[in-house]
Amino acid sequence: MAQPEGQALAGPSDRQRLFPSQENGAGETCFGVLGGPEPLLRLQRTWGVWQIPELGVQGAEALLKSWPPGSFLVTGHDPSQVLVLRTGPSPGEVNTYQIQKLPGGVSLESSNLCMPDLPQLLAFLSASRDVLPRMLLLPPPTPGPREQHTVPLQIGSVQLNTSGSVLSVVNKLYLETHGGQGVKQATPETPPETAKKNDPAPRNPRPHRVSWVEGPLSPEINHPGPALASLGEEEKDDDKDEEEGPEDVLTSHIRVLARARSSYVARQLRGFQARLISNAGGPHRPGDPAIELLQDVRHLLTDLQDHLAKDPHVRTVFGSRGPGVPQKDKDLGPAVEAALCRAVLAPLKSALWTQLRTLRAPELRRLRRRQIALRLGAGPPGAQGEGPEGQGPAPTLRSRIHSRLGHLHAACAPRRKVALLLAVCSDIYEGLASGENKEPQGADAFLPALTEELIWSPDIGETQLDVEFLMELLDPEELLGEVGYYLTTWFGALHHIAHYQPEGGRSPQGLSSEASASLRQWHRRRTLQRQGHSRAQAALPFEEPWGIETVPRDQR
Amino acid sequence: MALRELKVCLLGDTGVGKSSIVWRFVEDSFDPNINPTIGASFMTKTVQYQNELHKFLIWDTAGQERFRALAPMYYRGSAAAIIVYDITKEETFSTLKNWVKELRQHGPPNIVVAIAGNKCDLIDVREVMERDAKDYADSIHAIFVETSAKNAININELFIEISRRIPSTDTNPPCGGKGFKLRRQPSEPKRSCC
Repeated sequence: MAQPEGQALAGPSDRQRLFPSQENGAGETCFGVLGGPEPLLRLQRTWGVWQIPELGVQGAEALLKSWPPGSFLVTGHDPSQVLVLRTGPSPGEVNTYQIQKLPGGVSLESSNLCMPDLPQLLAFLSASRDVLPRMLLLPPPTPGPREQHTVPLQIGSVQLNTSGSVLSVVNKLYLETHGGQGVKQATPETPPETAKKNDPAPRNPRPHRVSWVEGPLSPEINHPGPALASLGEEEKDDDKDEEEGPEDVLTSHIRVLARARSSYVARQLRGFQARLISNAGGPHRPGDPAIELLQDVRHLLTDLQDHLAKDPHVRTVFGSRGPGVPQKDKDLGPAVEAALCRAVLAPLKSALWTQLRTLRAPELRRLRRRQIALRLGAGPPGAQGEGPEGQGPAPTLRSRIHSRLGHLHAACAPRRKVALLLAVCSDIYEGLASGENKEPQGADAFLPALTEELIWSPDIGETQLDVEFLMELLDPEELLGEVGYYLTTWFGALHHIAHYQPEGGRSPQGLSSEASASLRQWHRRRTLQRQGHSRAQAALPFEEPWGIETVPRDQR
Repeated sequence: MALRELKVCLLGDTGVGKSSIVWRFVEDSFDPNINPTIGASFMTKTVQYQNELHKFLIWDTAGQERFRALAPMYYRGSAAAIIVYDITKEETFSTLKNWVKELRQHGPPNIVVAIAGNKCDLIDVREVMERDAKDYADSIHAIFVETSAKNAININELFIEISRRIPSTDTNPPCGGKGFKLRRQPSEPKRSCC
């Protein structure tokens, strides 16, 4: 049975597992590169927080005014990106630095330091000032799916003496350029991390090569990783559909059927793929092509599910599974569904999502713009009383939420996506829980908290697509219950963000007539389906409330 | 005994006690399975009414003005709507009238409307007269009760009255299976042995 987070078995902590302690024999703890892979991982996992291409320099400066010194944003599109840095506590202390694209990678203007890519450059600048007046302050860590064991970033090495008072960054570029004046050149047998204390790096090297941090090691550099125990439990328990389990023989069988030219499964799949490609030219039918595409996916999967559940060969395969597996007929449906997700939906996912992103591009751009506008109106993420929707949760909880969102985007099976979406809801309630108050919080507290989390979440567009995907794929009966409630609430929070008005600072007070009509059509279409009249839906297009700008102006 | 799932939507200003009413309704049960699996925004409780079991699927809504535009997403497909006001705040009763208008214009055609005047334990600071609220409810053919979530007054009665007003039926509408099920068991019409 999974243990509560606070009662983990005696053993290495998550921090120790991620970054094992390395004693180098001279009483020094070598942190590998910049405290292990953490700065780079943090940058990779918080990409949507610090890189906002659509935001102008002025917007970035305005946003950074309420953030602590060292906070930064990267704006603009490649190759004219700009690093905007809050350099001090006063309002005007914000500097901008052009990011140069070089043949060997990227560098800051007036710097001789070149790194392979932007995250690596920023990771280095979080431990070494180079040409900057201060080091970068990284966003809070947000562990992403299956990223716990990434190879350390090979920039240089970091050494900390036993008193903890001096941190030296030994840059490989410096060693290559200067041949290690005063530094023993690291041989293959002696990795750079093992350079001894009696061979220190030079105190006054050329500028822009090596930076020194006096005093105790900054907590920003050696930030303990968030507890991952609960995430591990969620990984194990939330959904068995995507695991290689006893049903794998069924998955293999369906994969074979999907490849066999003459099989019903293959014919249906080819038909769907042809329609998917034909849609690539953009909307060409009345109604909403993205929704029609998702309806097509649902029809494909439910049709194949019905067909396979009746197929005697499938029943034989299902019955021949290994010992210890329940072989009751009633388990066939879920087993076929899980196998279909692995054998049919998973291979289609990449093309399907690419197509959805294309069809939804204007709405997703608008959603992202509004998200940025809301961030601009807020203080630092989760700052008390300063967020657009109030106080956010603790950084570790927000990290967990971002991690779950990463898993949600990566997942394929609807059951898995739903489990992760509900896990995020649970995390948000956990953040709302207040001491002695045993009475749980209702929607008055939950919806603003969810909205706040979405405002600060990376990949908000992917979240929108996931919610739409689930609302279209799930059975209407499911949408009456808990899953339907929380999907509707996510949909509503995204709608609220998409319709945020920077001037008025709030969303419109009523739905437009088009949006209201589309909601009624959506409900009517799903209700008709529930009663078995799936043909009737073709004449009932659906524009999401957040997408009402797509309605032609002459029809408004 | 047939089980019917009834979607009930909670509407009303923030702070009037929507969640408290539902929590009191659900928490007072001896059924160990009624606690919310995630949080109190969505809760369920099954009650027996005549020869049927009514499973209330209770959808809470955010009462803040800025979220008002989202309400249609919540009340669509509802069998009933409970509109809550605070008897100590006149403006919450004015808001209630706007909700009634909206439901009449855009809500499901046969939705049962219930009006709940919450915090009736605070009679010293009452701003909305019971008679006025009752007359208004009668004029729109709505259920009316004054409740106290704090003292458990009229909470069960509110839901019993909703059960009484909802038209009787023998079975759930047939489901065409046109989407992914999340439950492990097949979705046949649900029966109970009691």
